[in-house]
Amino acid sequence: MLLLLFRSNRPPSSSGARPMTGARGQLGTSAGRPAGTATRLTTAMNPGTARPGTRGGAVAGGLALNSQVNVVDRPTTQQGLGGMKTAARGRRQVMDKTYFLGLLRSKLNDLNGEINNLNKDIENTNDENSSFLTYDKRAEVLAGEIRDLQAELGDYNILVDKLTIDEDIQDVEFDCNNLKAQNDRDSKKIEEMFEVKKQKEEYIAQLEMEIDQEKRMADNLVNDMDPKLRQKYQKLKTLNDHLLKQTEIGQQELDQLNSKIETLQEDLSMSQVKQEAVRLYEQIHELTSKRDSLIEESKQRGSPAEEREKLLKQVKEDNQEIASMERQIKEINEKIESLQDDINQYDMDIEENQGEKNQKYKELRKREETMDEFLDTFEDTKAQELKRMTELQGAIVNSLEHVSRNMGRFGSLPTPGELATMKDDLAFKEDEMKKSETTTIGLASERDKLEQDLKKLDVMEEKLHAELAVLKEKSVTMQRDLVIYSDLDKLKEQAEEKKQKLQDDRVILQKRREAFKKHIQQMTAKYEGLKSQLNDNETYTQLANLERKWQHHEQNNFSMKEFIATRTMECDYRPLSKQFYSMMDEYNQILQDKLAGKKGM
Amino acid sequence: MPAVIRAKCIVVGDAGVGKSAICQLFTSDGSHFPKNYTLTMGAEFMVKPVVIPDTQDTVEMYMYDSAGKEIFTDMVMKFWDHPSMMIVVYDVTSETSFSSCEKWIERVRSQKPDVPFPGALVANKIDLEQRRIVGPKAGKELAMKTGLDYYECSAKEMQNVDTPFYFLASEYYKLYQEKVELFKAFVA
Amino acid sequence: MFDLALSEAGAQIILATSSDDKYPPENMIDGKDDTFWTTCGLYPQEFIIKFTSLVSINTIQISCYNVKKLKMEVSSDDNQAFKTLAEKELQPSDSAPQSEEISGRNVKAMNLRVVIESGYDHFCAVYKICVHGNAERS
Repeated sequence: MLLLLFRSNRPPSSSGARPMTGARGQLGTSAGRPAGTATRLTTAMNPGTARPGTRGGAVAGGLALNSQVNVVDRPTTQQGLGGMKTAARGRRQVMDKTYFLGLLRSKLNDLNGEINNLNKDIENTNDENSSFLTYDKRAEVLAGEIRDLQAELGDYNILVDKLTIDEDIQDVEFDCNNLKAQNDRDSKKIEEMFEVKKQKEEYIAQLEMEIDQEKRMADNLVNDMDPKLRQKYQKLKTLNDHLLKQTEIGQQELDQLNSKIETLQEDLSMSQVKQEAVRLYEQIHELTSKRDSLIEESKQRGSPAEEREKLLKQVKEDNQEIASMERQIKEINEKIESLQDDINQYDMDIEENQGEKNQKYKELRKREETMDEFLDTFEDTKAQELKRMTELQGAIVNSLEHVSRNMGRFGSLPTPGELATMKDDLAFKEDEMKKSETTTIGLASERDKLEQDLKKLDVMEEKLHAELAVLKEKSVTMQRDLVIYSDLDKLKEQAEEKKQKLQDDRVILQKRREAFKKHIQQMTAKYEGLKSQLNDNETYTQLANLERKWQHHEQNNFSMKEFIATRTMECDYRPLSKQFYSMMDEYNQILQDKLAGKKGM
Repeated sequence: MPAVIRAKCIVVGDAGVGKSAICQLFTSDGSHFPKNYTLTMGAEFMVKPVVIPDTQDTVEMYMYDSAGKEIFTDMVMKFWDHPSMMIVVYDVTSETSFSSCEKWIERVRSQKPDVPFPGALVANKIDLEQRRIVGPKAGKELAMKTGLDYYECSAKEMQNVDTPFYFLASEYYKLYQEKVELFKAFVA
Repeated sequence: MFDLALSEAGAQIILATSSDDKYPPENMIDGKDDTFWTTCGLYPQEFIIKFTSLVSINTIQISCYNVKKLKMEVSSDDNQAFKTLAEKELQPSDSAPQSEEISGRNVKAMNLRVVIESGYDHFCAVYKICVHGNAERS
């Protein structure tokens, strides 16, 4: 569609071009056509190009008012006769008015169709837009509804929670009131803040007004100024502006560069390679600077003679400097000395003049100081001294007493020789005392040992007594036995008697044994007979089998009963349930108390 | 020479209380405990001599381990003539066995109502503490009421099983001594 | 006629179911009243007296205590079985020994078997047993 239109826009150029080439289009025997249309049509009917005339062509092939195809007409090429050009893609061969009209019509139809489609699309989109708006509104409304419902749901949920927890209505009201209070507080805060904000805004408006006022005043001043001054002012102002801008730009650049530096530094700090690079760069820098300096040096070096001269000059200069400095120092020292001498002289003068007075003054001052000290510490020292005095008095009294006592003994004092002997004695006695002390310690330990031995001996004595008693008894019995045993004959007689009796008994018992044996034999024979009789009896064997089976069953029974009993005992939940109930009661009680206590607060 | 006196000891009680276990344990001197329950058919007969302490005399206990099942009662009662002593056993985990003790005592005593003889009430299976229903107090009361001596034992743990037998043997021995004294008194 | 069941006469207790050393069965046939033989418990108890030779028994006198049921059997020879002579139930007497007399009807016997079937107490005693009869000349 668009291309066709494009083509229609271009007719002037194409019409200019095409006819020149002339025989490009396979014009049939069409004649008497207006140039415009011809040119247009040629462009339209160009099969050689890749124009989408195919579209139009195909359509045209179908819809155009085709006249019969003149087989006779031979298509001509640029150089004259050409080959038979067959129809390309079922298009019409003969391109005459009707064909082109047909084409045009088809194109028009297409265009119309497209326009209709577009219109429909537009309408659709418009409808959709409008419907979208309505939907949007509805969505908003619904969202609002949803919000409300959600709030309701939330309220209901809270209610359900409160119900399941069995919370008191008082608690609920309490919470409600809390929330209300909180809300009031918050709203108040918000109002306050709003007020503050308003105030601030007013303040800002005020300030702005002031600023404007000032500005106007400044302007007035400027206007009132001389024109020259004004110019200057203007120039300065513009300069100021310019500079400000520059500073701004410069600041921005600076910030950028700073940020860049920071990032680069971060990167630097992260990457070790870069750090190394930095180090190496620094090294390079150092070395280059060194090199430069060395190069400069070498440049400046010149020949050794010059060097020597230079050095000598330098040395001379330095020496001169040193000398001068030394002189200065000397002078200063001399000055110092002279001043000191002056000072001393002055002092001496002062002393001479005021020698005595000064000394007296000094003495007086010293005395004053000591007196002040004394006064300060007077009390303390007084107390101390008093104490000392009393102590000393006491000591004196004691010593006096002592002395008086000793005086009494004076007569009996021994001579030094005697004193010496007494001292010897004393030393000797001391030694003895020490020795005796050690001996007492040893004796004490020995005493302990001996006491223990004594206890042991007591115990042994008791044992011995007991043994003695036992032995006495034994001896008595032994005596008796002795008497008995000493009487050998009697013993012999007794033994004989016993032997006889035992023999008799033996005989009797043997007889009895035989009788018993016989008896037993009879009984066992009877018993065996009965047993065999029993075993022969079928009923008995059957009974025995049944009995055995019964025993087996009873065993199973019993073991199962035992098993059941043990298991029921294990599964016995009753004590556990009792425990549980009691614990639950306790717990409930505690909870109740706690809640009651809380409310009471 | 040591004298031997013989006593007929009847062991009675409900089925499954542990009579055979006690008897077998006592007879084997505490080595054999029948782990599996074997139904005693009729009565089991066992002999065990018991030496009386401080003497050289022995009491031979002729034990008639009777069946506890009711079916056997009539049969078993035939063995019970002239008992010298009796042991009634019950299970502490079974209330029924305890309540039927009196019944057993009556049955045995009816055999020889005139002559009193020593007896013991034995509470068995005390190792099953958790399943214990009958307390020692109840047992002691019943023993006092019926004129028996109360003993607790556990055949499984081999605990205290010999005590009632020894006690009964010494009682019987005392009885014998008394009788002999009585006999002597007639002629003296 | 004299007491055959005397140890002096040669009678012997060849079998006794109880034997306490202090009161042996010989006490029954020693002819003394103050010695006795005790049973050691259990019933039935028995003892067998063997005579020196075949005798004919006239009466048997027994002095005992606590005996309830008594049975007498005789056998003329050692290998022969015992034949029941008599069965008697004695009356209980608390203060004095029981005394019973059983007629022998002159039965010929070599051994006399006395069975104490039951007693009034756990133990019983036999003080004396006298068998009056004559010795038979076989």
